[in-house]
Order: sequence, then structure tokens, then C-alpha cells
Amino acid sequence: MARIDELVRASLRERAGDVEPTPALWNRVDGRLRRRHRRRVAAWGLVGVTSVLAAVAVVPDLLTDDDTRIPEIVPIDPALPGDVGWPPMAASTPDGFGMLDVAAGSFDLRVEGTDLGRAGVAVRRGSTIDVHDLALVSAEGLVTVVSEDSFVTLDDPGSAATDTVPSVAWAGDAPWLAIAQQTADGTRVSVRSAPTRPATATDEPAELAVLPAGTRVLDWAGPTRTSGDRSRLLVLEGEQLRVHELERSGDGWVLVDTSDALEGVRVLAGGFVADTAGNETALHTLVREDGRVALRRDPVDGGPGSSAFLDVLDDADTSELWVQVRDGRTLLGDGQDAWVVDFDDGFGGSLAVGRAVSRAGLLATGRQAAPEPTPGDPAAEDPLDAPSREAALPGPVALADGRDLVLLTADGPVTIATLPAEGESLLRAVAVRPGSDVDDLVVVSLTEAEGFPDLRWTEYVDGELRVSWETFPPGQRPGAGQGTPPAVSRPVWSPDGDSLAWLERQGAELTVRVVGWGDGPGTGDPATDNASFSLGAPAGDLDLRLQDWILLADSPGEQVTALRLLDPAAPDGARALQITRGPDGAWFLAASSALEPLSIEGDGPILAFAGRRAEAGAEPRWVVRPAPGGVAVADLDAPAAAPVVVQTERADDVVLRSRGAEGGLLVATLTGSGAWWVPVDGEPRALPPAGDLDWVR
Amino acid sequence: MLATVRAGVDGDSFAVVFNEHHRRAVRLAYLLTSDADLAEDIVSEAFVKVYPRWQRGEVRDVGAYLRRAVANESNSRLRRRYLERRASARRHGDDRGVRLVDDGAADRDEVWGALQRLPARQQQAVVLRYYEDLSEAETAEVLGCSVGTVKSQVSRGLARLQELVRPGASASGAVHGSEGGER
Repeated sequence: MARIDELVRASLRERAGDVEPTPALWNRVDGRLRRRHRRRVAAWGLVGVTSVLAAVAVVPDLLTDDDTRIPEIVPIDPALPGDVGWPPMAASTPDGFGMLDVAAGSFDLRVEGTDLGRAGVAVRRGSTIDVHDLALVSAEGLVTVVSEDSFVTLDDPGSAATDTVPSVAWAGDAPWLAIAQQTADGTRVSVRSAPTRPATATDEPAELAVLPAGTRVLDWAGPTRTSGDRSRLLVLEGEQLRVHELERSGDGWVLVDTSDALEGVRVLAGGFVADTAGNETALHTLVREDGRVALRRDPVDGGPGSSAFLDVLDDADTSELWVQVRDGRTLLGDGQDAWVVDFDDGFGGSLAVGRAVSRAGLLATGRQAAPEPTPGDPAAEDPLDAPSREAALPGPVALADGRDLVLLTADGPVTIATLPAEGESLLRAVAVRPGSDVDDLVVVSLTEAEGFPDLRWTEYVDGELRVSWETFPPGQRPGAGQGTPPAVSRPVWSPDGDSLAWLERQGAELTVRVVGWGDGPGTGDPATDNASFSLGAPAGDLDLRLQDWILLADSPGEQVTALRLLDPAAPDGARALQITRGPDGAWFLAASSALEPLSIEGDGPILAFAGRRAEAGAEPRWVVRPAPGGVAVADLDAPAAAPVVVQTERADDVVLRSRGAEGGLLVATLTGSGAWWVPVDGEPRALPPAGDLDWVR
Repeated sequence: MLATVRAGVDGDSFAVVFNEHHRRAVRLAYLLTSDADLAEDIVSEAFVKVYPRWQRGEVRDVGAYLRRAVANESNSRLRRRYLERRASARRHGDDRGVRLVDDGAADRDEVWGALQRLPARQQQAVVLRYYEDLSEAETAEVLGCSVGTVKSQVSRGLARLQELVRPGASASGAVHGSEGGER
């Protein structure tokens, strides 16, 4: 008989040869691509200018509606200086709202037939096509906050209270949104956090000031992250430009100073030129001088400014003019068309023009760059509570927060699923399947409803919730075959993610349950589908807490692993239970299997452990013990290093998740009093509140 | 001074890409799902996903990108079917009449039939290793898992196949005449 691998190879080639693609396949692909591109901006052209913009020529519609062609525009010469490429933008068009990739000549229509952004588009600095925070003002005056995966329309009765639509601006360094709404008393300016970035910031708007009627907010620059930071809000009162200085305090925001208006200058629109830290360096304004419209650049340090006339705007409706400045590019428009200008040194650069763009906001050129981190609570002063976690976390994390399953990435936290409120459901623990990533995430959760524990699984694929809180089939479910529900431990995954294990306690009876994982719980193969191992005395009398599942030895015919457990009542509080997988994939406990104590250096009770010491079998590397004011995390491979102390009110039920030797630890308390990331060589950083958490890896 | 604008780069160039890769992609999708209709759905989706990135010049190896897209999409579709099958079983008491396997091919080819009985992850690993001839590292990259996981998946998959396939079996009796690969 041929070797099995040869048979498999031959079979696969045979079967592949049975299949020929049908001609319909290309038609389907082609049709979908055509539909995608038919929803584009009417036309984009590129115009170079060498000096003053006396006129703007618009290249005629070059994107044909011929269904046989896929349109593309490639800017060739002259390119904008600086070699940053043509910037993409978020654009409101007569077709709807979408993302315009100027370099690729494509328009990805996100919401068709909408007036989202028709009256205003504000883009948070650092936003890209892929990851963004936008605030869109509709023609009806509704403000909608948009991120890459959510749209939230702000529910504020002031939005539609008058004929004048609100204006909005993002803070320079955080997802705070300043909103100016017209009221009977004047213009009410308030600050609120992006509702699309939950978990750390307040959704309640903090009123900042009531300014003269007709005031619009244009831009916001400067630091806002911590209490005492001062930032500048650019506003337009009629045609007078002012800068309000804001201070962030523990209670919210205070307007501390207001600049004088520029005399003799009628300002139509404007924006700050900001450096990479979000601090303003110059001001770009559209002004009316001698009946003509000009673009001005004024350094904030009072140095000489420059300006140039924009003849094309002379006849524009003044109320429709808008300007936005980002990354050395100035985007301006008249409500019908938009122009991108390189204006750092006066008009020496080039101009791109887009037709049929009502409003737009410039995005960063990179596709994966993320907005700046989400700020902590305004009252937070402790550095632990105001972390720059996104810049530091070595990988994504799944969090259990009340009934919410939250995915924390460099872009901030996103709630991907929420348990139904019925039965006072709670999310007790989360276990991320090994091999998961943010685009293909499998999480098994320990939940509790009406006092009964259960395991449920969730799948989040390409930003879409594919499986939501699915319970296990009867044969694999906790308590299978038992009359009354048992107590269930947190679940742990086998190192390769092919099996899931947990402990069940029914009185003094303690059982290890193992379920194979195919496309969900259970494989359908009797050898690997599920198994139960009853642990006799003395295990049944111990308060054992399952910590993790580690690989000890792997060979083609046998895989030796260990479930590691915490026995908090014992002085040597760590134990291991060896469990082996045979050649058929079935798990078994050897007849001699017993709870083996693990040697751990140091004194005192152990609250949690994780990781593995170098060349030391199953012994843990990191150990958590009580410490004054909190808990101490000790690295047993670095005995000379002082333990890292995490301040927390509750030191019981500590969770510790290792990410390997270089990735550091996640620490949380199941009571939800706090969660931290502890780098291997650094200070702990606070994370959003979590009852339990796990690395995605 | 007006810039030159090159417009209307039509679909021909992407059609060339399609022609170069679609057959192999469909066959891979079929081997991963055992369903020729579903395979075309999956490949259609994969090409639509690759197009914008290809257009922006972000795809260096279209074949590799498609392979990963096909594997991911196959996984997703199978999961969806699995859930539908389970929902159907709950409504009707069992799942008789619901098969994911290409019955005819499985009946003709015992090895192929045995492959369908492997867990999906094992089956994917085996297909990528022995049809696509990917290395363990490449397979791990496509499946988004560690090399160790690939090794154990393939090892266990082959061990299971060895048990399931009767001594003397062959792939449609064509083991020794099938060295030519794709036709």
C-alpha cells in the first residue's frame, strides 16, 4: 500500500481535476467590481499651479460610465511636493458619504443616498481610510459620529432646534468632540467624547460656554489628555475669528481666555496647521479682501504671513466655504467642489480638484495608522489611570466588562458582543482560542444567568459577529448528564487550540471536562469529541482554580500536556495535572496521574500564576502574592528585580495572563476593580475596566 | 500647466490576474469545502477582496493573497453551514439529509471520503500541505496559527486517515498515474 501522504496527495489532485471554473465566475466578479465603482464621485482631475491661482481648470469627466471599464486615475505630474502622495479623504457627495482614495481614483461609498456630512465633515487627526473617527453634520443638523465599524447619531434635542446646523471639531490629541449648537440664548458649545470609542470616556456632554449667536467651531488644537492641559478652540463669530483657550480640569472643561478678533479682516473659514503633537503652528484662513477671496497663512508666533487670491471662489456662497488643514495639506471647498492645496510656503505647490464634493475632510495617507489613544476619565490623575496603552500593548486583548465582550486593540476598545440582559446575565471569564487574531476571533466565555454558570462561544470575523453567545450542544455542555447544574471553572484552551477544558464541581465530586473543537464545540469524532475525568480524593476537597493548559512534550504519536491549577489554601499553592493526547487525538489521564505540586520560590499565599520558568518544566515564571495596598507580581526568572506592585482594593480572584517571555502580563481582578498590563521591564499600565481578560494570539 | 491624467485603465489587466489565478483558487476552495458551487462563491468573494488592494499596488503576490482569502472564506462558510445544520437539527430533531460532502466523489475515492471526516482545521492543514505543497511555515501563515499547530494538525490528520483508509485503497485507483498535478 502506498504511504498515506502519497495517497492523500494523489486524491487531492484527482479531485481538484474534477473541478473546472464556470464562465459565470468572471461575470460575477466583474459585475461586483463594476457595481463598486459605479458608486464613485463623478470626476476627479488634477491641476498643477505654479503661482497665484488665477483660475482652476477642471479636467473633464474621465471616469466613464461604460460598464466594460474599471476606472482608475493615476496622478502623474506634477505631484504634490513632499512625496506624501495625494491624500485620501472622507467625503460627502450627492451620491452619499464615503471614502475617496484620490491616488487610486476610487470612491468607496459607505452610505448611499444619505446627506451625512452634507453640512460638515470633521476628521480626527491621524484618521485613515481604515481606522477613523469622523463627525458628520447632516443638512438637517444631525451630528453623526462615525468610526470604522460604527455610526452613532448624537441624540441631542438642540441639534434641530434652530435653522442653523451645528458645527463640530475634534480635539488635537484625543477623541473629544466640540459641538456648537444654536439655541435661543446664543451658541452653546459643549464637549463630549466619541460614543464610538466606549469604555473609558464619558458620553455626557460637558457644557463649555454660551457664545454669541451664529458662532461656529472650526478647529481645536493643543493637549487635552490630562487635567491642567490647555488647548485652543478656533471659532468664527460671524466673520470674526477668535481663539478660545480651554483648560481641562478634573470636573470637565473651563474657558480661560479668549483672543481678540483680527481687525479689518473678514474671515470665511479657517483651520489650524498643527505639528505631530497636535500643537498649532500656523493658521490657514479663507478671507475676503477687496471683494475677492484669498487663502491666508499666518504663523501663530506672529511671523509674517502670506496669502493668495482664489478667483474660483469669488462667486461662491460665503456660508458654504470651508477649510481643513492636515499634514501639510489644505483642503477647501465651496459646497460643490473641493480643492487640495499645498500651502506650506505660499502658492508654490500644486492643486488637486474634486468635483461633486459637498464637504470633505483630509485623512492621513497611511492606511493602518490609528487615531491617537482614547483618554481616560477626566478625573483621572494617577498615571496608572491615564495610560498610553495603545502605544505600548504588544497585542490585542479580549476583555469581559459586565455583560460586554470588548476587543482592545491599538485603535481602542470595541464592544463586539453584549450578553442579553435577561436573567441578570454576567460575563465571568473569557478564553481566546489560540490562533485567533482580530480578524478571526474565537472566544469562549464563562457566563452566569440567574446564578447558573454556562459556557458560550462567540466568533468575530472581519469585523462581523458571526456567532454570538452560542451555547454548547447538550453532549458538550457543562453539567452534561447531571441533574443539577455544577459549579464551573474558567475554561482553558489546549496549547494548539484544538480542545477546551474546564472543571466541574458537584458537591465533593470534581471533574475535568474536555471538549474537542472543530468548527465549534465537538468534533463529531468519538475519539476527540468530548471526555470527562473524575478526580478522586483529595482533589474533590480542594478549592482548585484552573489557571492554564501547557504543553510539556510533543511527538507525532503523543502529546503530553498539563493543566495547571491554583490551590490558594495550600502553602505550595500551584499544582499540575498531566493529561496526554494519544495518536487518535483522544485525551487520557494516565492511571498514575495525580495533582503534582509545583515548586515555587518565595513565601506567602499565591493568588495567581502564569508563564513558565526557563527550562523548569511546568513551574510558573510569574507569581502574584498579596502586597500592602494591592498585589505584587514577581518574576521568578529575575529574582534580583523588585516585584511590580499593582495597587488594587481587592486582591482576591486575581487573573494573570502571560504573553510569553517578551510580551509581559495582563493582570485583572475578577471583581472588576481594575486591569493592568505589566511589561516585562516597565511600570504597570491601567487598562479599561475588566472582570477577566485574555491575549488574542 | 495641466497634469496628464491616465484614465480608464480598464478591467483587462485585472482580468489577466483573474485568468492566471482563478482555476487554482476554485480548486483549492473545492478541496476545502467539497462543494463546487460554494467554491465559486468563495473565489468570487476572494477576488472582490483582492481587487482594491491590487489596484493600490499593495499585493505583491496575488496567488498567496488569494490562497489566504480562500482559506479564510472557506472556513467562514463552513462554520455558517455548521451552524445552520445545527439549527436545523434543533428544529427537526436530527440532521439527516444534510451532508457537506460531495457524495459521489467520496464514494469513488475512499481517501477523499476519509478526508471529509477530519475536523475542519486538520483538513485545511492537510489540503494546504499536500495540494498546495506549502511548507509548514507557509501553511501556518495561511491558517493564522503556529508552525507547531500545523505539525500536530497534519500529523493527527494523517494518522486518522491511516486508520480510516482500508489497506490497499487508492485515490480512484489512480495513485501511480497522477503525478501531473493540475490539469
